[in-house]
Amino acid sequence: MKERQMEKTDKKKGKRRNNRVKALKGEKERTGLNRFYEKKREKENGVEECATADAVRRLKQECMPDPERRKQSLAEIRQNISKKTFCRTPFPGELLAVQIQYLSAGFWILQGIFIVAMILFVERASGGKRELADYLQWTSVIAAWMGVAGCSQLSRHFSRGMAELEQSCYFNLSQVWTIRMAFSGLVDIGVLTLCGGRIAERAKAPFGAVCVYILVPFVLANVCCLFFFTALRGGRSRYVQLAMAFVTGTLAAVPAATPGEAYAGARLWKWGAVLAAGAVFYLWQLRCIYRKIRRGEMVCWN
Amino acid sequence: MEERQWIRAVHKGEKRYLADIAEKYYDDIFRFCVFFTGDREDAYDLTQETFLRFIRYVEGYHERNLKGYLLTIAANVCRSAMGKRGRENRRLVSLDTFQEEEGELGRSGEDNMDSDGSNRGSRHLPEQHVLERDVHERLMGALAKLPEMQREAILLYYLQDMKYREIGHMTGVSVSTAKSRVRQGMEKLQENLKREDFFD
Repeated sequence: MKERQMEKTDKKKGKRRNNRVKALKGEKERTGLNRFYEKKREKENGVEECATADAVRRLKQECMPDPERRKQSLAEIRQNISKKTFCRTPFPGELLAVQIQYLSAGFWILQGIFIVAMILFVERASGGKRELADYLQWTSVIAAWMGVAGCSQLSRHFSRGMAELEQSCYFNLSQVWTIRMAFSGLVDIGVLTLCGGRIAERAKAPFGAVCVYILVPFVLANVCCLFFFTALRGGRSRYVQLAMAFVTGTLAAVPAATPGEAYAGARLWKWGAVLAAGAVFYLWQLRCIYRKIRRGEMVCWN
Repeated sequence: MEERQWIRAVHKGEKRYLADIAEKYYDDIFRFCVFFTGDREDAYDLTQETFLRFIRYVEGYHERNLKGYLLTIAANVCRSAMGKRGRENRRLVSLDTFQEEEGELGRSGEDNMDSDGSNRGSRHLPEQHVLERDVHERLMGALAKLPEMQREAILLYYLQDMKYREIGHMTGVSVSTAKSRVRQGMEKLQENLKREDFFD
């Protein structure tokens, strides 16, 4: 019985093997044929393709304009060239200088006052034995005011007719905005970072952490200003700006005044999270405002 | 002087280089307009319009590929002209133009005849010219049957010797799309030509 079964299984295996071999052979034959026909087709097409391409290229040599008409056409083009008046395009550096020149004197004075106040405060406060919170209390307030002052410059563009006037000078409004924000933002962040370095040195705290503590009120003040942006224009904008400076300054002073250790190392990640969230929110607001500027919604007076 | 220097000089207000640019690229743009619209007469006006547009907006030109930029303007000009006039079906070069050309060539053939009566330029033999005209016509007909995008890609690739990257940049598509447009266009062109026994 076993032998018979063995024979049967062998036969089955043999059949399977034979089938497989046949299938492979067939495949080989088929692929061989396919390849043969493909090559043939490729050859034929290739020759025809070359002929077509050559014929198309030959068109180039055959199709030339009539010399007389060419002459006439070029003469008319020359006539147009002679009539052309060129608009001079200033270089980017030149444009940047113009924009900086048009920043108001008030902005420079205010920024100057803040910077001097911060330097004086940090230097004077460093005389006695001070904690990190003592340094950060007033630094945070000044940082918040710096943010408000920076944003107040932007609201100036939306005085009646101002946007149109500025747009007529090579840049569009969003570009003017970007330049001003980048300029005032970089100056403020530079000053705050320097002060952060000085404070970190005096209070023997990590520099990165101090920078985060200072930048949080600065970014949040900017966020508030952009949030109430539409209220910051018109004749009463000064009062709204003052109110904004008062509110943001007070809020910035709160962490240092609270009895708990707001600036403890363990809470740094919270400060970092607030800074990141504030930055994201700020960018989102900017995007919204830029879109409004582009569409002419809300921010456009005329 | 290089193109970039020309453009720099133009931006500084030196107008004469605009004329040099027109002189240099006139033939290329003309050829492109002829094959894009299929109308030789219109091509003169369209070529002129292309250069006039370029001159009008030259202050805003900051790209590197001047020929590509001019060809893009030409394609737009041709497209708008074709849309305006609705001449999609009139893409074939008119026979009259060829007859005119034939006349001119015949005349030049006569001019080329030596005093002993032999023709110097074998290119101007009448039979050969008729053959050439036939080839030209059939090719133009086959080109005219192609979809506009593929025709544009083929013209840029084979006639203007542009790279796929440049074609993609000019037509606002990716390199692979430009490649496939050229390939598919050539396949269709071959089919069209085969049907007319072009290769026989």
